Amino acid sequence: MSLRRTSIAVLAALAACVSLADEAGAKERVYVLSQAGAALSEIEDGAEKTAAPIPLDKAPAALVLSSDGAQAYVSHPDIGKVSIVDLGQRRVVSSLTVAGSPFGLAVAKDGRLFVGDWNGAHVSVIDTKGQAPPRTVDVGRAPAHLILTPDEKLLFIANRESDSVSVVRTEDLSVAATIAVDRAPFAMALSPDATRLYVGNVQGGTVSIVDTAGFKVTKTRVSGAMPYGAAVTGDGLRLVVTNQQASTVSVIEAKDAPPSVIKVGGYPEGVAINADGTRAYVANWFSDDVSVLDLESLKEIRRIKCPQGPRGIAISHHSP
Amino acid sequence: MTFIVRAMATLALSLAAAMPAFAHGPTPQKAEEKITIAAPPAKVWEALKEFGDVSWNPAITKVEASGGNEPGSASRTITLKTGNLVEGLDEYSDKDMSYGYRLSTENLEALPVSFYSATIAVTPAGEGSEVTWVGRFYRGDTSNFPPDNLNDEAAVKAMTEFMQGGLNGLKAKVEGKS
Repeated sequence: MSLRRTSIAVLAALAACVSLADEAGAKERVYVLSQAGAALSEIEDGAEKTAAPIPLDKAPAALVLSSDGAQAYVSHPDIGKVSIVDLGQRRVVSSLTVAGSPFGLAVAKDGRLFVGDWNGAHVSVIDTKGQAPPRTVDVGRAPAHLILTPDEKLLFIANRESDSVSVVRTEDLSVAATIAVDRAPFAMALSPDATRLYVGNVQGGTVSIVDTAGFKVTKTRVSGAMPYGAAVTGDGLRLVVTNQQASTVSVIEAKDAPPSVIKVGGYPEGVAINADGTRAYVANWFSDDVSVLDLESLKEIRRIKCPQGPRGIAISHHSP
Repeated sequence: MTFIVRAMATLALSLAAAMPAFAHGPTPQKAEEKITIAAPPAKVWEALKEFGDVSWNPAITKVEASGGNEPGSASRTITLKTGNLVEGLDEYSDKDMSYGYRLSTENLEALPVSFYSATIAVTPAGEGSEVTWVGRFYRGDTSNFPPDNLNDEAAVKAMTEFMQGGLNGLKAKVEGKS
């Protein structure tokens, strides 16, 4: 593999950590994962439509990009698989069999893939280079999304049925903490400096703000009905949350003012923010499109059709 | 490695068989039904707008409701021929003539879906109205090996038929044909 610049956003949260300065000239690419359409499609920054979609196995659910931007990892909980997509070749290059119902994903630079089992209570740790046997870590019930800190020392897991977040040390796979949050945590995002973890609680309609040094909830903010996605701007000042049942996005500022609310398509789920924090991309699961939001005017500026059932969305900042 | 993965899969299978499925699956399904009604939107909304009044829906034989139309606290228990379902109100807009709600307590015998959220809305359509009912839900058995009566297809069929029956009932009531 050639050396590549390594700014990349994984599940939008890491978008927060990206500096545009070392990416001058690189076009951002938005990747959209569609469950019913079983496809990964690409929107080049500024484009009006998706490029020809990459076909995938049945019912893909969650999406992350590798830190070098070369690959996408996609879970298929119904068939117990994780697909690895080469984004340069635009095709699936590997399909891993994973026990249970693999859902939430995180991938580390050392090639370790972390996979939550939706119908279980553990995370599988798989060496994608095939050097080490798989291991498992016990977490709460129904692990939903996973997120790694930028230094990859800590892995956070939203335990949907246990109303908690597990914190796992990646070095030895020990559990550092289990943090009680609101009802049904699902999606997460980290502040750019990784001091704060934002946890969207689907049944609570709230976001728990977790201090990642003390592993404590410091505040709970109201978002809207059924928050299913979260992303933070690169300056760390704004949190963008999709409210699935309201078909809206809440833009939550650091101060305690009520969130700004933007109407989007039907049943929004995944959200990602570009590197300079001017645009948010929202996957609208029901209406089969992506809302492009201008975060300065707080308005939806475009809808881009995509294959059926878009759920996951991620932004890459360089050519694959 | 292949052996270990297979062993893990076997172990997971035996565990799955011993555990009840969680109330919420990883892969949602959708339904969307529409009907046109020969009456102005305000008249259609009049029949629909009380969350606790579902007399327009012939599939519901009884309802017990509390909390009025207050999102977050309003709740209703609807009785179908097959059993009871408890639903909670999430979103309500008199202006937009729309409300959104979710299943609070599942009952697979009443309806073979493990969780749902839905929105019903009235919009103008020519001289009359259109009512759109959309739902997002999960199969009754959210494990990877559901029986035929609790799989994705069964869930979509049940939800679609429930919506169609309700919308036909609403149309008949508002147009004065019930």
